[in-house]
Amino acid sequence: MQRLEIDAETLRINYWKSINRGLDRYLQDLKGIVLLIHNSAEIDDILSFLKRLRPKDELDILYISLVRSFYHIKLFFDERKLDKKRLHVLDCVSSMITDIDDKGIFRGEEDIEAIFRRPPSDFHRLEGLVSEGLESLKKSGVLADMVVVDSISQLINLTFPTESQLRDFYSFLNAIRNKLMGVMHDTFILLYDDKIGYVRHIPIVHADHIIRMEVIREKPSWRG
Amino acid sequence: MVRVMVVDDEEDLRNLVKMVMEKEGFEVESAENGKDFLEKVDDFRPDIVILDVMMPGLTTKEILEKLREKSLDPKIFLLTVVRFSEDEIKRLSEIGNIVEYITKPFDIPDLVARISKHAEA
Repeated sequence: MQRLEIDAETLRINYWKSINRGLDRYLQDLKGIVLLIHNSAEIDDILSFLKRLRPKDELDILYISLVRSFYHIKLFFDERKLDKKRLHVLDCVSSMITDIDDKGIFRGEEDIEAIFRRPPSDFHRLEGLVSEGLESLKKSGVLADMVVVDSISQLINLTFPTESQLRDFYSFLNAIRNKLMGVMHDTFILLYDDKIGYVRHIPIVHADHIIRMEVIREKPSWRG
Repeated sequence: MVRVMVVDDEEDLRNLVKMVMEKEGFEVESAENGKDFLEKVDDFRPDIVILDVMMPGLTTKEILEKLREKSLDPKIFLLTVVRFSEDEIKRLSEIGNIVEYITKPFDIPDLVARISKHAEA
């Protein structure tokens, strides 16, 4: 009997370049749509990254959190201030466990505040939340320079995405570019946590920059 | 036999946990969301509930409140991909008997070991 052999077909080749030594130079002018792929970075890792972005500029950041509550973020923020940056958190997590009015707003600190909303169930709703967050800040006299979404892995699994998920994701990226990017909002950072699986579908056409952050943690083997 | 209920909208995860727990000798029932859970809980009367925090429909707080209205007090393992502050979890523990807070992805044998420990207690 003849043996049936099926060879794997190469679909795409991705090239990666490590620029660790030049990272700060690269980050000081970062603009556009940025996909930051990470392996379960915690909030202090993300705050450290944000701190390195355009360090000379005063920036207002709309931080849409789908995976960390505002009070969790705030604990770390208090220890790790962002220098010239102010963080406006749109918390889509706390409503899952606490009685937070959907219109609720937290104020009280100079450089961190929050509004609370229910989590979006798809990219279309996420787009609405981004617009709403920007509008809400505008009403209080703040023009956001940067938007961070943490994390789109809540809405798509880039290991085995369905066709409709990919379609929604790409139209979300197009909407960001066509409707929301401009002079005031010049940087969109989309975090993606790849802890569930290897990223097979990378939106290379729709993103201006793709950065991979690898967090290596280990328990110290010796304590003095 | 200790009765365990797995409540998660991810079907694969729900089935996997159910299969492993049954193999370990637990009596297991599953539910795909809070509403489904509350419909089944009166009949099944679980000793332990493995509850996903982020599901469509009812919030975790609403599920725990309704469970309390039914005068049921199973041990609850919260499964979550999200991060809360300790104070927030503490406040939630005032409504339900939360014994562990486990972040996804988790190790199945580790989950079984933790549940077995609480089942014996």
